Order: sequence, then C-alpha cells, then structure tokens
Amino acid sequence: MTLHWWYVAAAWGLAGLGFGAMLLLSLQRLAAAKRRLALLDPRAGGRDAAARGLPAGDGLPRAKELQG
Amino acid sequence: MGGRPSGGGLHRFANPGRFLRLSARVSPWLWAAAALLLAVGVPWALVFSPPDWQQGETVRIMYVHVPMAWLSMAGYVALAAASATALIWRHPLADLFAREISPVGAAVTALCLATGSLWGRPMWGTWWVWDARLTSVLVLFFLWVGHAALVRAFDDEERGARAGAILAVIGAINVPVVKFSVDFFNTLHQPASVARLGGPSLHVDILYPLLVCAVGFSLLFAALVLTRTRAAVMEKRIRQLQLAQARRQDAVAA
Repeated sequence: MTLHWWYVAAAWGLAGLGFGAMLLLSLQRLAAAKRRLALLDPRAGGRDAAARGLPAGDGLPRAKELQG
Repeated sequence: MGGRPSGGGLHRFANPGRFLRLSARVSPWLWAAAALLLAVGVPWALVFSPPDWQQGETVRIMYVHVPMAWLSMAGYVALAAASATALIWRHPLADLFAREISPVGAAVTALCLATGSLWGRPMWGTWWVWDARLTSVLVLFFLWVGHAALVRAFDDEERGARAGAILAVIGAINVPVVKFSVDFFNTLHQPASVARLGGPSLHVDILYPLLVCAVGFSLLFAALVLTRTRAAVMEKRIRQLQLAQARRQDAVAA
C-alpha cells in the first residue's frame, strides 16, 4: 500500500467512524425514547403505538405542548 | 386576511403527531435509499473509478471530502431556514429540528476539515493554510459547534432555542463567503469544479461516482437528522408525561 493509499484510508476511515457513531447513537436514542414512552403512557394503545414509533393514539404531543 | 398566520402552510407540519406519523413512513425509505446509494457509490469511488493523472490514488479522498463540504453548507442553510421559521412563526418543530441538526452539521464540517487536511498533505505539502476557503470553513465549524452548545446552555429551553436561532440566522452570512471565497480571494484551495457556471469540469468517470456519493451522504445526513428529531419529539412528550405523573402523585399525597 502506497503512502497515498494511507491518506485515502484515513479519510474514509474517519468518515466511516463518524457516521457509524452518529448512526448508532441516533438509533439507540430513538429506541430508548420509544421504550420509555411506551412504559409511561397510561392510555390504551400506548404500547402498540409507541412500538410503531408513535406516542399513544390521541395523546400525540401537540404544537402548543411543545411550545410550553 | 383573517387570523391565519402567513406561515399557515408550514403550521400544518407544526403538529408533532402529524410529523411523527409522516416521518415514520419516510424514515425507512430514507435509510434504504442512503444505504443503496452508498453501497454503489463507495466501491465505485474506492475501486472502480480511475486514479487522477496528476493526483494518482489520492483523488479518492475527493469522493468523501466534497460531499462533506456540500453538506456542511447546505445543512447550515437548512439550519438558518429552520431558525428563521422558528423566530418568525414560532414553529415548535423548527426549534427541535435546529437543535438536532447542529451536532450532525458540526460532525460533517469536522469531517470536511479533516479529510481536506488529509488531502492537502500529499497534494499541497501541508496539512493547513490560513487561506480564505479553509478559514471560512473553520468559521462555519465554530458556528455549528456554537449553535449546538448555545441551545443546550440554558435551563429555559425556549431562551436557548431563541439565542441559537439568532446566531444561526446571523451566521448564514458566512455561507456565501465559504462558497465564493475561492473566486474572490487568491487561495491555495482550487476553485469550484462541479457547481460552476460553465458546467462541471470533471470527467464523467470521476463526476458520476462523486454525485452518487454526494446524494448517498446527503440522504444519510437527512435520515440521521430525521431520526434525532423524532427522538427529540418523543423525549419532549416523555418529560410532559413525567411531569403530569409527578403532579398526580403530589395531589394524592396532599
């Protein structure tokens, strides 16, 4: 492997590590949020909805709630 | 005119429930398209594209460096647009989006600087020069990091979001400086080869894998930001539920 290939490998390796770490952290965070939401939401259907990535049925957070 | 705000169309998407439903449908397609394009683009860039007649194999750094550079600027435009939307129309999702895009934008800009440095060393004989392009990208990196830190620096999230939005909008002036720095100043960095008036100056053997990698990384960037924003919306809901639960317990105890 020539010296030029080392620079290429380092550049692509950095990008791979950077995106890999972001990917892992983002997916872990989303999974944790879904799990905690499913446990907390007392309303019927909460668990099923959260499993699909949704907070409970009609209990979806509203714009006003997010502003608060 | 009525009471409807001028950003009424945007407010259709201010409903986080609608955002979560829509993004749940879009997200898998984004991940799949990014994976597919990068599965084609990365081997094309690293193995099947020809070496440059002057730069040799080092040209393969371009396929990761240029997409990072484009994303750092395009991402910042998205951040500034979201911040302006949040400031003008008080769009709640725009604040969350801005909060979640800045760490990803900072990482991408850091990758742009690092891969550029790794390309500069064998080609220019130096890791770094204080020319207009490199310096303005470094300023862009500080703006990304500054935004990410500022929105998280306040106990009151709304104040943090507002301060961050002002910084992002003012900082947008740096984007054209980055873009045109190679035209207005005498820089060691080369002028634009793809996004220029006379059309791309690259041979198709290099241009096509570059475009595939650029679109692939852009979709990956979008998928990451979307996933983080979805998580942030859910976390906000969790905090509200925890607060409501604590209030109920207090009421029972009283």
